[in-house]
Amino acid sequence: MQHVMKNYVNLTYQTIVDTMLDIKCCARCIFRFLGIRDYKCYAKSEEVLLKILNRIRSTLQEDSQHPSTNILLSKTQDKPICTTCFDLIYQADTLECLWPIIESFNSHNFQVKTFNLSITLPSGIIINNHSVKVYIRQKFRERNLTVDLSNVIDLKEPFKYLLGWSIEKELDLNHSFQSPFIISIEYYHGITQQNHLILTRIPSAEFKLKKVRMKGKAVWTGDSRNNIIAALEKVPDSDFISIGNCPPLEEKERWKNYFPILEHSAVYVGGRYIKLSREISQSPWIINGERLAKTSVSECSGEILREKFRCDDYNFVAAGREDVNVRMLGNGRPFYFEIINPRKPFLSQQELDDAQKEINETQKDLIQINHLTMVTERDLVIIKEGEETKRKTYSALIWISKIVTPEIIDKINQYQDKELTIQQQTPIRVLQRRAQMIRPKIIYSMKAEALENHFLTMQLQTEAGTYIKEFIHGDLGRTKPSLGDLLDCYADILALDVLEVDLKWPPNNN
Amino acid sequence: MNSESLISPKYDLSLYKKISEKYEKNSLAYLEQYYTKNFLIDSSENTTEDFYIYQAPNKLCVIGLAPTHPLLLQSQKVKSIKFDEKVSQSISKKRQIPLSAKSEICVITTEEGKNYSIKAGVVGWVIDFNIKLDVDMLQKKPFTDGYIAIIKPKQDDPRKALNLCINEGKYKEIRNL
Ligand SMILES: [Zn+2]
Repeated sequence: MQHVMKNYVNLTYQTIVDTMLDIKCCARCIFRFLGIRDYKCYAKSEEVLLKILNRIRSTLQEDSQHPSTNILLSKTQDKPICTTCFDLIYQADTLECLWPIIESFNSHNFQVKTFNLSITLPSGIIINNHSVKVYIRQKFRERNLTVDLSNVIDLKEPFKYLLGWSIEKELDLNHSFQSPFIISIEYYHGITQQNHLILTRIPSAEFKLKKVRMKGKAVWTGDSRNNIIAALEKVPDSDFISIGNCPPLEEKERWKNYFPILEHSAVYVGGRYIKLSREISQSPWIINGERLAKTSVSECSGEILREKFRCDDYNFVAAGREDVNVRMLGNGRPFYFEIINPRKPFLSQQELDDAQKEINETQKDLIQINHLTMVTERDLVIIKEGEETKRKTYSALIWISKIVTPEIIDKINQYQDKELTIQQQTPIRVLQRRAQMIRPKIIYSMKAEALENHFLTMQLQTEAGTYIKEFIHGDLGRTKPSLGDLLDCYADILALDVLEVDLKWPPNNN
Repeated sequence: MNSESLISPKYDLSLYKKISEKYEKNSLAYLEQYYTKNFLIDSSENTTEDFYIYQAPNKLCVIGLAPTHPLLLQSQKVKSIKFDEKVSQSISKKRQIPLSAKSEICVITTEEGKNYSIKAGVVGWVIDFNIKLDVDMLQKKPFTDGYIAIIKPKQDDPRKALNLCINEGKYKEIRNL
């Protein structure tokens, strides 16, 4: 406090303090107008702050207390409402301000260590603060003095610090600007909400509202905070005094707040899934409101994760996908979940292992997941790129119109270590949504094993994006050569399984 | 499922017995896995210029020559296959007026100079011609590689889209096959 005393004792500051005490602004607002940036000072009680202010104003004059002091120190209900903050900063560290936040935080039971604040102040504050500045300048002019008020501190800054400190104390959290957990709260003050409309009556403000139609309703636009501030800058004090209220009218109501919104940014959990059923889809398969597969990999695991993370919602993303009637075996397919607004944003590896076990036990015959682990947003690109660039290994049950002989098996197996390039026209089965194109695709390796009569199994390793089913039956000649072409007969695929998606995932998995 | 069967899965062939029996009787039976077969019968009494229209689950229709089409019944040598130019140019262009079922999309000319007209058969848009189609394939593999065009019907409901067509049973009955 010593430095405040030393630096702020002069005629300019005394005049500001006197003028603002005359109109019964709160001590913290007067500190703002003095340009005091050491926000720790603001945390002191109103009584202490007023004592300092009285000392600033009295050092050059007689040592007397400003007449407003006592009324400003009366109980909150009896005290005049500050016109430059509607008592917001005056109450920033009281239960009135804290209560809605604490209540909401506790009812959601967020498990976090830090928070950040996003504050929206009543728009009436802008006009009233400007009005007090104009009023102060007028007082200076009356005494043949000038004053520079460009150092006045916006209400939001110190308010945010004060509120932040009280939340820290009350909820045992750290206020951090990098926190992924954001408490958003909007304050309003009904009576002064439309105060900026006086600008439409001041020609020098060049303030124009536009009427636009939104969803069939007429809405006024052009009154954003930035527009109001820019317009005020153009208005000479004399214009403002003749039309606006200077000083601001006394207020009869304090600030109010909308329900606070508490939100944690998304977290990500990755793993690999095995799909054992030919009846479930990767994500919910619903067309025209009708469910075409009874459940999905996404739902089977997501619903359990929803409980664990206590999140609002989740999104499932995998490195590519298989058709419903195709199983995903082997080491599984890489995936991640985007967990939206988790109340519990971090699960320990032990908790994740337990969740994985629970998923695998409930869905035993449908899916199995493994390597479930927390991943970072930066890791996600691996999945997105993997979709396009990775090799896939398949196993297929095939019927051919010839009886399977060792010669036929040999014919296929000559491609075991030899690449085969095929030309695929967009398959008819996807042509309704994908453009007609011819794509060359590489089959890196093929290996066949004879079963009885017309049946054989094959393992194929292919370039990403190869349509396997079409390679087998030929798609009416649109894939050339097809397996049928190579063997000079008809061929069909009866079952298909993906054995491997060649992608290292999750990244920190050994 | 144990880890061995995750790497090299075994298939229970008893599940596929019925399908195998069907396939052994008819090598082309596999097409029924992917399409429902429909036929468009020649309406004039003296000719049998019939077509098949296969419809895929995504509603796309593949049109080609039915077994009773004169080009497949008689040993006529085909000289040329000409896809309609206007229709060709309309492919992959947006906002095209749909073709009527009677719109000609292709003309096949024999060595003897006889012309066979191929109609769309369904109201809709040609989204692809069989660009690989040649004279040989048309007659040797008419039901697979020798198809003529792929049409996207205007009507989503197959009963409405294929209202001029009959099913395979009816077709065989009419043509005494
Ligand atoms: Zn105030």
